[in-house]
Amino acid sequence: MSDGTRKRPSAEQARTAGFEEPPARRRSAHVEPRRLVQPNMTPMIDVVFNLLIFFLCTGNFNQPEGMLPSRLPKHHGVATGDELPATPIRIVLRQYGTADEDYMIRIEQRSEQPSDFAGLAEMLRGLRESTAFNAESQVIVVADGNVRWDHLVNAFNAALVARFKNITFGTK
Amino acid sequence: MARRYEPKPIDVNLTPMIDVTFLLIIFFMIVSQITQSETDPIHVPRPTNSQARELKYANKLIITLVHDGEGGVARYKVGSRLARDMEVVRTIAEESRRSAEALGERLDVIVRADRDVRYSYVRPVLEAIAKAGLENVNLAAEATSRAPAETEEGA
Repeated sequence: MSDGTRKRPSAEQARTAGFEEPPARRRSAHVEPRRLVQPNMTPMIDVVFNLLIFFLCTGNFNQPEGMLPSRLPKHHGVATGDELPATPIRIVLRQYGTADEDYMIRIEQRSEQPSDFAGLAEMLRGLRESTAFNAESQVIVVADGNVRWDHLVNAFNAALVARFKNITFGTK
Repeated sequence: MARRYEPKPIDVNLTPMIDVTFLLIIFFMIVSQITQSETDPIHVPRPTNSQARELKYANKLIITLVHDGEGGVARYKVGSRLARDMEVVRTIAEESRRSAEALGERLDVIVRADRDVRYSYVRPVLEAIAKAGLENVNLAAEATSRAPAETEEGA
């Protein structure tokens, strides 16, 4: 019974009928077009921005602030002549010009004088290690009214570097 | 016969949740920073080989001297209050000392003066603090990353 469709002759039948063997039929001529992968960038950008804000907020761009502990003389704030022990070390700061660098450091009753605060710390360390002074000796930072606060704190810090414990500010 | 439906796996999109979580973290961090910044932004002194270190105080009174740009002081701030003159500074400091003493606590004063302020503006503050009966004064300065003990140990 024919179903109306032509049957393809087999390779043997074709050969016996004098036909050459037909070329092998291609399996699939239909090639699917390659799909473009397009990831959704929006959530990624969201998260990246969030991370950026997070690190900007957590980052600290300021120099950390610390404290230099000190004790004030009772009821005066600055040392007066009556309270001074026999041998205090007096650091005198003077501003002789308008520029920030126009200042002078002097240690009273010393022939050698420091040129900067690192030198002051070295000299104070030498004094502390000498027989005349020790860590408990009083150090008084005396300054003119027009000296920058930065210089006073620097001098105070130099005394701390030299391991003095009793440091205060004084008046002339 | 009733047809059985297989439950579909729920695909949870985590991205919005992560976004919201991050935003909440950032929100709370900024709020906490605002709460902590009770101090005015000033340029504190920058000592050579700074020995300044971060200290925790149970009870503190912060006195801030804000620079006016010409070596003077634009305003004195004692705690959260503005002080017009040294008498006000002394009064507030004395009140704080009494409050601390009533609680049996030690009061530390922190002097935050701009590095460009002249000493003639800071000295009256130190005198007012001493007149208020306070001795423990801490000078605010820039701290270095190295601990002071480490920097001087070998000296």
